Amino acid sequence: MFLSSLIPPRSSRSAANSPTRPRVDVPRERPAVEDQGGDHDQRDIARFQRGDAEGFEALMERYRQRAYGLALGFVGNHDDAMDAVQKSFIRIHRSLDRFRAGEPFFPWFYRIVRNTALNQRRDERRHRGDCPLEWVTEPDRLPSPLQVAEAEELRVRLWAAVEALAQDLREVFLLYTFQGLKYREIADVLDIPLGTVMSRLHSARRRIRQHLGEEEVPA
Amino acid sequence: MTARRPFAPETDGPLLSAYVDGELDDEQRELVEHWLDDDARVREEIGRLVRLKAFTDHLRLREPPREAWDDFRRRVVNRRERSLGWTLLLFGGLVIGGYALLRLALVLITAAIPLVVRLGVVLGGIGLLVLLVSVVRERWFVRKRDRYDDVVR
Repeated sequence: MFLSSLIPPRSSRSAANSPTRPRVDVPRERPAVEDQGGDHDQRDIARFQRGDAEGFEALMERYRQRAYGLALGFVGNHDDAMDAVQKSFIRIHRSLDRFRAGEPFFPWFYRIVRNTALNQRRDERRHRGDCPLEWVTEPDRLPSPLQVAEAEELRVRLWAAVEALAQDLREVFLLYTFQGLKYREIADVLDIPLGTVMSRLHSARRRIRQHLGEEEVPA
Repeated sequence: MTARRPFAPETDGPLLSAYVDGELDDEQRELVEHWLDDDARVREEIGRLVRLKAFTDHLRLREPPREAWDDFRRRVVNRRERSLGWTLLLFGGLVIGGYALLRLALVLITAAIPLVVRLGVVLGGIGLLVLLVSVVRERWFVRKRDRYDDVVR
């Protein structure tokens, strides 16, 4: 398949079409991301609530990149994502003194960024048609221009498929695929049952496959 | 122990996705592996899911250019300050405007001004008030429609 020159093969992928049981490299442990801040978050929030502005700045420093990734998934372009991140931190600053000590920070932070980004998406609608996805892996040898063009087209179509998803499916797909959250973390962040995460992610993937056309997903 | 029930495509699809993601507990994993051994549809579906996952694993959302964070803190602080500034300006304007209106009303009532001038001032004032109310109502309506404003857990 054409992407083989762009993407190094994986054992799981090469075995996927086997007539016998496909070999699936099941990832047993996905690193948790929700607790990245943990104690630091609580300490910085407490500092802010005592009147120390540096507590907020430390939080902002730690979470701005994360906020950008979340916002970009919703708005799809750099300018709107940056705007949404700035507005999110203004809202966080306005509400942080009411944050309950001991509560996990990330779900609260996520809701603010998500809602701000959705407002931004509704109000601005700039640069629709941009594709904010990029390849993780650089090709190890030069593919032909045709292969590059095909891979690029598939990348753009994948994003179009993600954009076409219903909001609840899209959110779960983005959190799992591009934010690296585990099912349990997604359930906690969205405050939904684990089974709902499972079914939404599966539905999202099924619709993306339908959008791409089954035969076009690279083997 | 989960019974080794047969695969039901309408309801068991999410288990296959979760299997590919390594998110099943031991019982569920054994069940899916049982289906994998027995059911060609499961093998096909797992194959499709693995291909899609492998494809999306090689993509990520773009990161912002390095310079995007250069003056990020300053921009957030500026926006915050300006938001406060606009609020104070609005309230100050309302106080001064209210006082000016009161004084104007007193002048119109007490001073020896021709009736036509009084009428002109009153009509102009009403027009200005209608415009102001219209703009404020529009802004208020937009704010009320903003379902996500001030989200607090």
